Amino acid sequence: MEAAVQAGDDNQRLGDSELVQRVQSGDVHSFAELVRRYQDRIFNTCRQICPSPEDAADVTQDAFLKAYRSIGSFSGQSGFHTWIYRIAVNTAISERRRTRLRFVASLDDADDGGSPLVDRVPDTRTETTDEAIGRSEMAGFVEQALRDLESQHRSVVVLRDIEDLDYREIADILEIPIGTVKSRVHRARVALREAVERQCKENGSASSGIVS
Amino acid sequence: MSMEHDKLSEQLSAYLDGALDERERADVEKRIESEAEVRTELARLRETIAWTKNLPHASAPDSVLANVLTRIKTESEIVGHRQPMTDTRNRWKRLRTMTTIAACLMVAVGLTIWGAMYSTRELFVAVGNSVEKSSTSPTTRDDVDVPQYSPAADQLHADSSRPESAVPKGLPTAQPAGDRSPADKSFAVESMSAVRGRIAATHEDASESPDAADVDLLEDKFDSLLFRALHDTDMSSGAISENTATMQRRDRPDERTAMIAKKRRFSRKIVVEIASTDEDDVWLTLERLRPFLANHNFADRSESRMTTTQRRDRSRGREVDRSEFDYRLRLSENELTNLVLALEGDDRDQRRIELSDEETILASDWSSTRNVLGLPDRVTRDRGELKQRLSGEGAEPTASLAEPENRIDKVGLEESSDRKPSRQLAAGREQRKIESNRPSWLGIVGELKGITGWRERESEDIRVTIRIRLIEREPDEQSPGTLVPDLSKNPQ
Repeated sequence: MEAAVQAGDDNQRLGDSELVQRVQSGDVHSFAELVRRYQDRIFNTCRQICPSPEDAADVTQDAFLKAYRSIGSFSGQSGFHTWIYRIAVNTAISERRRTRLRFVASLDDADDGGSPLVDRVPDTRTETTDEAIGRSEMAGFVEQALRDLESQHRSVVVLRDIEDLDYREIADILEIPIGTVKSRVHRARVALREAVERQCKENGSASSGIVS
Repeated sequence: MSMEHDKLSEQLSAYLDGALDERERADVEKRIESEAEVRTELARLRETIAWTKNLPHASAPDSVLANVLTRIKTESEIVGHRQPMTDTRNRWKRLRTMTTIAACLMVAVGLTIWGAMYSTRELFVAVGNSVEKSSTSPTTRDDVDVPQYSPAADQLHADSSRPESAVPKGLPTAQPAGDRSPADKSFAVESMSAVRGRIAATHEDASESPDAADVDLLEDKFDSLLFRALHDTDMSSGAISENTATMQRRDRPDERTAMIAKKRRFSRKIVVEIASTDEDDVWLTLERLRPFLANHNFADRSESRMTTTQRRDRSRGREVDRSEFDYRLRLSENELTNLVLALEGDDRDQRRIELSDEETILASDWSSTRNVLGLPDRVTRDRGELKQRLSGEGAEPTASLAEPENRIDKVGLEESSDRKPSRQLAAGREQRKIESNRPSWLGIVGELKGITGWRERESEDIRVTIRIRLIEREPDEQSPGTLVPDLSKNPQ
């Protein structure tokens, strides 16, 4: 037990590349450290792509497992975080496509054990004067707008504006040219804005503060 | 919105991201200072970015790390060791490169004995049931490069009468679909987890095969589920495995056969073909296919077919017949809808599969299902375009095939890098097949290939190909009923 704790402490001081090397030589503790380092960011990214937190958690797990299984082929040309993001984003997009049916169904289906979208969006007809509710409402609109984006737009906007990755990193993760990242990021933002504005108009709220 | 405005807007976006070079930034700043409209646009973009930046950050559930480690441990225990795939791939890549060089050298110095070397061609021709009818003519090296396998001809239409001995050790004996219980009909969703360990084991096996690099696709995209199909159903065993066994028995290494075997690594080949008149079906099938394959016995809903094409034997200057064995599974629209429902039996929504009447109605309404699944509009548009192309006079088969294959890539299922040069050839061959054998085929909508390695004492490698086809019309009335039973009618 003490040895494991000691190994954990050692691992915390190591960089990603050293940890990867250790994993490649069979050290599972080092992989656990990599999971600890990146699980929140990966989960957060997946959360914006997958329809539900449960799916995002599953995808996060799957992404790390895939990474573990194929870490032998990881050459280190890109950073581990780029690589794991790539795996996670691809997995999340596939999962989202696969589970679209479940997600859409859950809108009208409150007893599926999850958190239907309709419950997360406040009833704006009665509570729009409350500022806190307004913020929550706006967050709900933005999340919904994000989910409604095309997957290629959603990926770039999540990686850029939520995960704060630069264009080069995004290009590496999505395996597209930087110029494409640049144009996609912009188009994604425009599409996102339009979607949010549309929702605000439809709900007759929260639009007053939007720059027009 | 003008193009100039679009460009400026994009520049503003990049400006906010700090992604402009010095000169571009200076230009943008100049315009920001001088134009109120630009300032407004900048403010709008800034606000949009703030919306997403201000979304609450979620932390991963505590269970993530624990679950990952548990699964690693479980898989490792099954595999028998804890180490992930190491650099065996690189090692095998190097070995493969060296093998290729060695092979080339052997070819260079041994041309005179080449014919004699191929006198061992029976190795590839299975037990007396020659795939290449010109059995007296030696095979050329070109022929060797063409992926093929050679099941015994008299077994091609005898799935149900496969000899028990044809099933390799470790594979369960196929259960006839008619004997399946309703519990089986729930598509053994539990087996998703139950066989996970076995999948992991196959991962490891695959990683140690000389062509381990080619297994990437399988691991990431197929998630080894196709491999499960080899274990859980008999669709891959029988003739194919017997064929392999035959090869194995005959493959008693002398130097010549060993070299050929390396070039023709995939001693077993499985082709699964899904045909539908609706391209949406086809797309959906791609999405849903893997677990279905893994859990079902397709023996009584498939059609085995031998197709023969001619290849030019360059060294002999004459045509050589080459036959291929296809395993085809046909699904009508209704059947495919049922299949989708069946596949939805996975995890939390299993109740959806145990069909209430309402859900049955939903599922039977294909357009609703398609809408719910959010299949993109372009599928339909492309479908029209595809039809137009393929039905047009003098349509180029390769041109027609290229785009669908790309689209398949877009849905996340990639073609293996293996034998890419043969794609065009394969396309041409497919087209010939279409013309000669099945005029109703519109063409290949997509093809995905997964290469895996599987070892059981002796090295055996399996090539799995799934072809997704769009057909012009439903198969004949009697045909689909016998080939593909309606899945909603559970055999008792």
